[in-house]
Amino acid sequence: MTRDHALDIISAYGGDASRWPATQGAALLALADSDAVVADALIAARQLDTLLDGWARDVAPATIDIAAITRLPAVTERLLPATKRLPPVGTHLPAAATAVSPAARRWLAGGLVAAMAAGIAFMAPVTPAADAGIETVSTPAAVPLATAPGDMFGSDAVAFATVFTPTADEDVLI
Amino acid sequence: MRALPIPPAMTAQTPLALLMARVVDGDAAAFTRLAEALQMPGLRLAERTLNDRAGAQDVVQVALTRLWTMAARYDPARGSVEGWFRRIVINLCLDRRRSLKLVAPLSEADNVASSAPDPFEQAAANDRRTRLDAAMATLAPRQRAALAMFHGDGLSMAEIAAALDTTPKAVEGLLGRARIELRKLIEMESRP
Repeated sequence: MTRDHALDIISAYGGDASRWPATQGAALLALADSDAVVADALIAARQLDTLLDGWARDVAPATIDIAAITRLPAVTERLLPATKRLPPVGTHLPAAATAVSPAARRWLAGGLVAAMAAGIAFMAPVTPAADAGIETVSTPAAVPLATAPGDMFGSDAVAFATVFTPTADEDVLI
Repeated sequence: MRALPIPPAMTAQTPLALLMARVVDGDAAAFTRLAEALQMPGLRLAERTLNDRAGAQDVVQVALTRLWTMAARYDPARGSVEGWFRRIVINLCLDRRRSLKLVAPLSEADNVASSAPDPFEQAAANDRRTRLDAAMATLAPRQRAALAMFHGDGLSMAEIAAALDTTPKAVEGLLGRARIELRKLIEMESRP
């Protein structure tokens, strides 16, 4: 156990030996007996621990409206009857379930063409003059970095964009 | 909302996972018990991460709502109910970080009067706590979340890493830097 290693452990885990990695505790305490720097760090860490324990635990209770939550429908599989559930990914539907008759195909194709034609007909041409009164807003080229300065992990911004942002159906629910 | 009451003796020995299994089946009574067990830890974590009481209550309300509405997504094989809920809370907190209001700067801590009756030690403790609160406001939400889980819930590095979607080694670094920063800030502000 070196002094630097001991200081690293104290810095990360604090001064409570029961929170230290099990294999390091005895060696660290022994070093603290002979090294004043480590001993001082231990004392300071314990003082900070006391403050942090109080900070983390002293939170007044709040009233959460649980009844209001259970009045909401649980939008999960259990709301859908078994016959209307989507099959699991990778499941092959029976041929009868996906078969479309030739007549129906012709109607579908015709409908698609008609919808596209209607869309083109109603789309007004936009000229530079018509565009003149519209205020344009520039968008940033890249997603702004969510990581705070000093956060050396760098994963925060990525996680924010991929994991932390609710999906469309989650947004509807909240 | 206790149409299907769960015997207290049974609940006392029932792990949250068992309650969660009943929640997945749409059992509102089981959800109520589960929510009662999770709301205070969730509130502590959210309030400390956000440094915002009202925001923390909103987060816990939304997190519990997700627990109810998306219960079927819970996969016991991927972790405990507490861990899943903790992760929902953390994610919601970090999503809100952009809308966080600035709190009182450190210098204002000098102007906060102690509410202690008289003893000097109590006054000093209040003063230290006020300075700590002010110093906390300067940390990143992830650092506050890690400190809250380590000191408030006594979680291990691995458990904190799971909640923050990182590695235990990274959590050690996160906590280490947070503690060093806090000590500097508190000592700096304590100087006359």
